[in-house]
Amino acid sequence: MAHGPKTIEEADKTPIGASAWPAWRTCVVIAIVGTVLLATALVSKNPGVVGGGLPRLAFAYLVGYCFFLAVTIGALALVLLTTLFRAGWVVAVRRVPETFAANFVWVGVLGLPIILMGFLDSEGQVYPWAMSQKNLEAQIHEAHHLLEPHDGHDEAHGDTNPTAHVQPVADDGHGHALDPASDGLHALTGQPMGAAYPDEDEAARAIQRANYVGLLGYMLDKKRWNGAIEGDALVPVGKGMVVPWYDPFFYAVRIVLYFVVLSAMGMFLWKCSVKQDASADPALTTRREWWAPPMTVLFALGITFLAFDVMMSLDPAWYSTMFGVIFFANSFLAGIATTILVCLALQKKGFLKIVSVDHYHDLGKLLFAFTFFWGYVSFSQFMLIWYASLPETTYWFELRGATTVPTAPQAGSGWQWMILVLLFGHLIVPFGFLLSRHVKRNLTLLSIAAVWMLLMVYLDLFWYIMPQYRSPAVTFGLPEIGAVLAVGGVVFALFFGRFRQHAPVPHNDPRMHESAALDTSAWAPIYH
Amino acid sequence: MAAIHPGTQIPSVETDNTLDDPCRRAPLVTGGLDFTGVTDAVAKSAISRPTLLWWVLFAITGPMALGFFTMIGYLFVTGTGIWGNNQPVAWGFPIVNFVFWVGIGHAGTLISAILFLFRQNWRTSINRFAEAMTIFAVVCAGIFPGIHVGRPWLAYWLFPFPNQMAMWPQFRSPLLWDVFAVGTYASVSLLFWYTGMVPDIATLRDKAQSRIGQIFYGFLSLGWTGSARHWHRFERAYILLAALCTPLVLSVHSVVSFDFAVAQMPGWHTTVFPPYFVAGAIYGGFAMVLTLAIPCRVWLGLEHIITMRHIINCAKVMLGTGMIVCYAYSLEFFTAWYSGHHFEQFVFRNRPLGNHYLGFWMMVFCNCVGPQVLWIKKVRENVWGIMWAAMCVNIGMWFERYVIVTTSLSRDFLPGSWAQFVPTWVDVVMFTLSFGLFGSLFLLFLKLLPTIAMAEVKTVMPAAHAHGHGHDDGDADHGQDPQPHVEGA
Repeated sequence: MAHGPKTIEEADKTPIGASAWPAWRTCVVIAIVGTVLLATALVSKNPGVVGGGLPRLAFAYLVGYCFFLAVTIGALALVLLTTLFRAGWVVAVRRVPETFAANFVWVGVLGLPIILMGFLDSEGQVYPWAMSQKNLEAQIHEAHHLLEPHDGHDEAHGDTNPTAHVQPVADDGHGHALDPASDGLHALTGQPMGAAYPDEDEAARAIQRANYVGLLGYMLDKKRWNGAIEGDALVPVGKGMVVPWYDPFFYAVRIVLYFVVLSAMGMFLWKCSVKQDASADPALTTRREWWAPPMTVLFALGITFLAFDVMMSLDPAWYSTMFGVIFFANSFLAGIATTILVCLALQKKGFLKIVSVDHYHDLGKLLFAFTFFWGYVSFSQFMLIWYASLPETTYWFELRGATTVPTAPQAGSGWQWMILVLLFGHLIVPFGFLLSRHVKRNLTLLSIAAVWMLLMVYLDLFWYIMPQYRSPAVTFGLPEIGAVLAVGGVVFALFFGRFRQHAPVPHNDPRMHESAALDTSAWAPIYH
Repeated sequence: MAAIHPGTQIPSVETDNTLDDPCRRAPLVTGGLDFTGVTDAVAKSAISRPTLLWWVLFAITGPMALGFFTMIGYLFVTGTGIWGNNQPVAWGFPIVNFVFWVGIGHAGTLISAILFLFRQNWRTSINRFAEAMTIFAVVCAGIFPGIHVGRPWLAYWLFPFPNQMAMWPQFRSPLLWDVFAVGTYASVSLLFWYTGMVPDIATLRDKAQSRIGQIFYGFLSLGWTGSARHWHRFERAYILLAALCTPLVLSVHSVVSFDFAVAQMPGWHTTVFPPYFVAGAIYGGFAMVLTLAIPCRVWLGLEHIITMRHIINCAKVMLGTGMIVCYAYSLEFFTAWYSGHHFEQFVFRNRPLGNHYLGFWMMVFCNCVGPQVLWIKKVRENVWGIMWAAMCVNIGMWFERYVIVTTSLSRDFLPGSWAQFVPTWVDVVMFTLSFGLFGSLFLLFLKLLPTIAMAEVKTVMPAAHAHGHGHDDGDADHGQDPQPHVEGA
């Protein structure tokens, strides 16, 4: 090594204590301001900069919540994976992600509204599967009515052929395509229903929705009521799961289970680490490392199904096996970016003296790698669905602006721009930017990159979640900003509340000397 | 440092480096070998005459390789009808074998590129022959689609080149992307392998006794002198090639997975295929690395360089990627149910219970059950336990591709077009003989080239570092040297 061993200063070994108070206070103020802004969703029924009522409030909260869920999961992933791989370099900065991960249980508490939505949202305005059977039947009825070129209540509703619903979108059993990508728009707008929608765009949106309801009805009869749609009515068929997947109670049990498992991991890793501050017992490291592999398995399953249940189930009809992997990529990016920014902020205040530019360089490399990884998995998901062009999955992208069909309501909408922003802002530009080692070692540039990637992760989650609220209109305003501030304020207040109690650096970690001597320019560094 | 953590010294002659002590990193070269010891141990097999065992093995693999080419000749004069491929299973063994072999290669690239960027020093002992394995596996892989094109003398039409017929390949087909992906992969891997080998070939040049050897290695070593400038250029080139290779680890098998996943075929069309295939490829690749490393380290007397720790680390990577593969299998089944998609659900019921159920259960047992023994430390420390797991994976990963190809194609949307896939003897024999080609190339590599990246191994020995504990190998002079020596250079 070119430079000698670094000693850990006393400041890195003593808890920051009361110094965290101003930061904590600021976070609480931000959380309060955020909550007020979030509540502006309730001022009117019309969604705009403010307003939109409870559904708007719920969606705004969901995006903000998922963002900080991603940050926490990413922090846990950083700690867990570096423990799994017995990494030495990370020790100097590890207390920061470790503390976020230890607060996982509070993030779970913040998720309680999501569980409640399953029980209370009988109109299915957030999670369509929470819809009551009566409301779903009413929606299906309305959709049938809309999609019938002439009054279709004669022969169609006598159709009780049980196989009529085997193919979700090919045919609704009435001889009409329930195809969201249907180009039968013009044929349909000329029909009586056109009169109800004087505006052709509005008619197109109504048809898009009606087509979707057909698919939704097909899915929900299976996954929610173990039934089958006959005509406009849901009839139990007496088979399926004992407890349907989207039973609100089962849903709640699952969410609680994910959080119990993930919180236990976060707490365990943090506890072992802070205990070591006092005891300097290497056996604590061994214990963490012993548990890391099984915890990684549980972590992978936990976040996959968490992503499925919290985000993918906003559209219970759509599915993608890549969904959990993309959420992980976003989370890991958010976790690394947050670690970089929090470490820089703490260093500005004179803490974390042991952290050197080499640590940021390594974190920057991970930020770069997972920017690319996000692009890889997101592109794969998009490309495979686009290429196979199956209407039962492509409509999901159409709803999010990924369409070149000029008659699609989303053509030319804000969502279409957002995809381009994601493509360039979440992948191509940061890839080129972070490629350079000078950028990764320049703390100003690296912090710009970290802030930018956090923005992009938020945008990506927004793009996943918000179209379920409204599309083609893009809804962004004070409630969305408020949700980020509210949840973020709480998460960071909890962070500082915990962080201040213990040494900011796990100085007694047996690999601390490796981290202190980190030299990323070394060809094959070895540590004695 | 010692003030922070006592007991951080690396003892001089350690033979068991499998212990995990968080206070210190285990030595990667054991048995008290110094730089000269490493050079001698590695160079021995290249510059001495082949052993009897080598001849025996070559006498088996050589004729197999010849037999493989004979079978290709038989195929060319007869036509692809001698294979079991037929409608609806138009893709039979050739694609299965292609995916199997190209997957094997991934471990080499992961070890040499990604583990290098992750500063995993232990990779230095195994990267050279894992990279060699990569290249030979890609050679075997490339043959199968090449001879599957029907009119193999027109296989060059796969490449887009301006021609009088104004005929271009179908750029929208993932099969064409495969040509580019595998072509790039083969060339960059070859370049990486060769670049990394130059200093070691120079060592062999300086050690060679025979005139032919001196000329051969002298030619290949590109005038390497070991000057500081050479080392500087070498390290630059190495890092750049590692960076170039890294996306290739993902891209090649992702594109291979696109061959399947872009189709609307249930069982093929699922979005997780790209990372799942990549994990599967690394899984199969590490199994092959272990299959080769465990006997080779004994035969070539390299136990102190490819130590038990290296073997255990490979086994852990194998177990980890295997868990990703199991995750993907489970996710596919879950999503088939969750999707409510009739055909998807049928395919996933048909896999365990339908016409190719044996293949499915072989796959599940060999990939998801058998290797789980590696969770137990005692098994990981036993080469036979690791060998069992590796053999399971070797078999299981072939069956995985077999299951993907045949179950979906033989039971597609229309029951009227269903047909059973039955391989012919030619299918089985050609696949078996392809191991002969692989084995022959690998044996030639073992005999002729530096099997271990000597120069790189030396960089992870304590003596290579200025602050190294000189007592480690009794060769403190080297301890002040920022670069490893190439003998005689």
